[in-house]
Amino acid sequence: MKKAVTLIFIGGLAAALLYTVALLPPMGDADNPTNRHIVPRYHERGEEEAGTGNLVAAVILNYRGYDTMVEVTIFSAALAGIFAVLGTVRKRINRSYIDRAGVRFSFISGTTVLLLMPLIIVFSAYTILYGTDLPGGGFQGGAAIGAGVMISSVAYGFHRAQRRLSHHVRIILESTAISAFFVVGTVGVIGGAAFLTYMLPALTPGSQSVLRTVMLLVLQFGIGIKVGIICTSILFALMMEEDTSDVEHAS
Amino acid sequence: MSQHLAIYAIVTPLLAAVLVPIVSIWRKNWAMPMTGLVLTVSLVFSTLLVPQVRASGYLSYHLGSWEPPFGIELRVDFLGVFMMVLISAICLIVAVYSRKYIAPDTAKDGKTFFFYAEEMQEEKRPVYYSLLLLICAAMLGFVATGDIFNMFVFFELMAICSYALVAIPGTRLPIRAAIKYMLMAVPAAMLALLAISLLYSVTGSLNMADLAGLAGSSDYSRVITISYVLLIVGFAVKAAVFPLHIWLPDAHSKAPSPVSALLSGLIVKMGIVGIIRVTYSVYGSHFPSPLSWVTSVLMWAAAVAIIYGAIMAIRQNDLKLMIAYSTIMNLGYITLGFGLADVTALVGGVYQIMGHGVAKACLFLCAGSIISRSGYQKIEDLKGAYRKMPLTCIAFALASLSVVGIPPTAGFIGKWYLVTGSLNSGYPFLGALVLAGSIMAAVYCFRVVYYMFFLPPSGESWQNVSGEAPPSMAGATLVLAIASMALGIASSWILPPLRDAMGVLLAGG
Amino acid sequence: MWSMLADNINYAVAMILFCIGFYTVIIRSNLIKKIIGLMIMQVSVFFFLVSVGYLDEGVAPIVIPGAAPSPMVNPLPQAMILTAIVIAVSTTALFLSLALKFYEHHGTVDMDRVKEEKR
Repeated sequence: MKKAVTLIFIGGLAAALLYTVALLPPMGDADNPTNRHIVPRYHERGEEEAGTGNLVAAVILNYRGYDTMVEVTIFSAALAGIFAVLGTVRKRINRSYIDRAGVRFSFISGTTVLLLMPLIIVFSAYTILYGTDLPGGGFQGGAAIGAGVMISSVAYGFHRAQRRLSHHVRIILESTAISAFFVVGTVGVIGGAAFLTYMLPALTPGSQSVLRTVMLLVLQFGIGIKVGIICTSILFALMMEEDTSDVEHAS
Repeated sequence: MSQHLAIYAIVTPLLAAVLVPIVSIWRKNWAMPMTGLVLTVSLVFSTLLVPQVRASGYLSYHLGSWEPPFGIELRVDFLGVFMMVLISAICLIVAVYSRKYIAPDTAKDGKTFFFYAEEMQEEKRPVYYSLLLLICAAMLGFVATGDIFNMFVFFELMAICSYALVAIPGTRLPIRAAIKYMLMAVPAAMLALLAISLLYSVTGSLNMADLAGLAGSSDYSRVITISYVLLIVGFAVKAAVFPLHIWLPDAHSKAPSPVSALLSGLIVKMGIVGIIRVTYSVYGSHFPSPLSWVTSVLMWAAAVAIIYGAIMAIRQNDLKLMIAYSTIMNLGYITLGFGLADVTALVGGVYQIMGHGVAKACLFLCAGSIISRSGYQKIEDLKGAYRKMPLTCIAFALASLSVVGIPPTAGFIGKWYLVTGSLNSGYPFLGALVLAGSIMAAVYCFRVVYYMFFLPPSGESWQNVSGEAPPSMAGATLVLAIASMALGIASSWILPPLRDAMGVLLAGG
Repeated sequence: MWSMLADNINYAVAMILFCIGFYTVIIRSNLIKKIIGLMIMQVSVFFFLVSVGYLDEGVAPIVIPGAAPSPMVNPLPQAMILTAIVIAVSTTALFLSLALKFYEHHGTVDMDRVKEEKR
C-alpha cells in the first residue's frame, strides 16, 4: 500500500520534471540565457579583474566570495553538529572499531601508505597553492589531505593518528578559514570599499595586484587547511567508540 | 562605517562561533558571555539599520564591490530589517536563558532534578553556544540577502544547525525526532536547490532583483512556474504548512527547551519569510495570473492547519507537545496572511510572525523553567505551580494572552488585521475561522493557566521543588512576556512602515 | 517533444536519478539506505547543474597565457556546485552521526524494527 502510493507520487513527480526538462533550452547551445547574461564578463575580464587564471576560482573567491565563506562555515557547523550529537572525543580512549578488528597491521597496506603519504601531501599542497592559476583549489587539496589521513589511519591505527593531531590542535586549526575570510574582508573595509573587496585604493596598482594575489593565496590556504582538518576530525569522531554504551542487541 | 552595519551584523556571529570552542579550551565560563556579547552587537547593528531603511526604502550593499548581478548583493528592505531585529533579540534572550538551563547549579537543599537529560554534559556546552551563534548568523543572513543562491546557502546553514540542536541531548527520543526531521527537511532542501537550478538555467542570473525582471519577460514561462512550485514546496516543509508538518511536534517537543523556543519562534518563520520573499521579489511580475492558484492552495492548507493544530493541542496532555501543536495553528495564521494575497492580511501575517515569535518563545522558555525545576512535563501535574514559581506562571499567562489574541497584545493586532484582510478579499468564512481558532486557543491555554493558578497541588507533588527558576531564566521569560504586551501597545509605531513595505512588495517591488 | 528530450538527455537522466533517490528515501526502512537515497538525490542535482553550464566545443575555464582563445565553459554553475557539494557532504556527515547514535541506542539501523517509543 505504501509502495503503491509512493510509486504514484514519484511517477507524477518524474513526469512533471521530465516535462520541464524537455522545455529547457538545448544543452550546450551558445545562445542560452545562461551563456549570454553574466558569464561573458567572467570570461573576458575575469582574469584581470579577479587576479586568477582559473575562472572557477575567480568566481568562488572573488565574485561570489561571500557564498564560499558561508559554505566553509557550514562545514564547520557540520563538525560542531557531530560533536553535539556524539560528544567530543577528547576524553575518549583510543578504542575504535578498526583498532580492535581481527585483521592486524598488514605489511602491504602499511608500506603502500608509507610510500604514498609524502606524495599525497605534496600533491595536496600543490593543488591548494596553484589553485588560482591551474585547476584545483582549496577544497580539492583539503579533501586530498583528508583522504590521505584516512588511509594512513586505517593502515596504522587510529590511536597513533589521533596522538599526532590532538583535539585541541584540531579545534584551533579549524578556525583558520573563517578568520582568514574575516580578516581579508575587513582589509577591504578599512580601505573604504565594501566587505571582501581585495584591494586598498591607497596603494599603487602594481602593489595592489600583489596584495590581491597574497590575499587569494591566504584564503586558498586557509580553506585547504580547514577542509583537511575537518575531514579528519569528522573521521575520528565517527570512528571512536564510546566506552559506556547502552546497546541492546536485537535478537 | 554605518554602511557596513548589515554585513558585520551577519559576519560577527559567524566568526565568534568558531572562536567560542577555542576560548573554551582555557576558560570554560567565558562561552556564554562571549555569545551574549556578540549577539548584543548584532542586535545593536540591526537596530541601527532601522532608520536607514526607513529613510531610503531599502539598502543595497555590494559585496566585493562587484555590481550585481556579477557579485552578491545584500538587500535589506523593511521586512528584512524587521526580521533582523526580531531574530537577534530573541537569540540574545535565549542565550541568556541557556546559561543556567544547561548548566544548573544544584539548589541549596540539593533537591533539583532534571528529566530527559536536559542538563548537558559539560563537553557539549561550548558546542551548544557555537551552534546558537551560527543559527543566529544564518537567519540574519537569510533575510538580508538579495541573491537567491546565497539565500539557499544560508537556509542550509540554518537547517544543519537546527538538526544538530534538536539532537544535542543525545538520548533516544531527541535522536529519533532529529532523524525524522532530517528525513523530511533534506529532500525539501534538494527540491529547493533543483528549483533554483531550473530557474538559473532559463534566466542565467542569480540575483533576485535581476530575476524579477527576467522572469517576467522570459520565453520559458512554464519552466518558471514549475520551478516556483518546487521552491514553495521546499520552503513549505520548513514552514510546516499543513500536510508537511509531520516533523514538527516531535522535533519541537523533544528538543531542549531553549532550542524549542528558537525553532518554534524563529526558524519555522524563516520558511514563510522565504516564501514571501520568493513570491514577491522574484516571481512578482508573474502574479497574479498564472500563479494565484498557489496562494489559494496555501490559503486552504492554512485553514486546515488552524483547525488541526487547535484540536490536537486541546487533546494533548504533555505541555511541550501542546505548545508545539499551537505552533502549527499559529503558522496556519501566518500562512493564511500570505495566502489571502491582500495587503491587510499580509500585514497581519507579518505582525503575527513577530508577535507569535515572541510569545511562543516565552511559552517554551517557561515550560523549560518548569521542567527543569520540577521535572513535570504533564499538564495535569502543573496544578498549583503558582505557589512555587510565581514569576514563571505570570509570564506564561501573559504570553498566552498574546497567543489567544486578547487586546492589547501583539497577537490581537495580528489577528485583527487577518480578519479584516479576509473580509477584504471576500472570504468571510476564513475570518470566522480565525476567531474560532482564538476561542480554541483560549481553551488550551487557559486550561493550563487555570491549573497553574487556581488549583491546589495534587498531593505532595510540589513539595520538593525548591522554588523559582534562577534570575536569568525567569528574567528572560518575563522580558519576552512584557515584550509581547509592549509590541501590541507600540503597534502604532510599527504598523505604518510595515503597511507601506507590504504595499510595495505586493505591487511587485 | 521527444526530440527536445533527446537533446537534453543529460537533464532527463538527472531528473530520473532524482526520482530514484527520492523513492529510496521514502520506501527503504534501513537508515543507511535512506542516506544513500539522499546522496543520489544530491548528486543528481549537481549533475543537472553542471550540464546546464556546458558549452558545445567548450574547454575548461582556465585562462592560459599564450594559448589561442577558444570558447570556454560556463564557470558559474561549477562554482555553485562546489558550494553545494560541501553542503551535501556536511548534511550527510551529520546524518551519519545521527544514524550511529541510533545504532548505539537500539542495536539496529532498521527503523521499522524499532517499536514505538517506550517513555
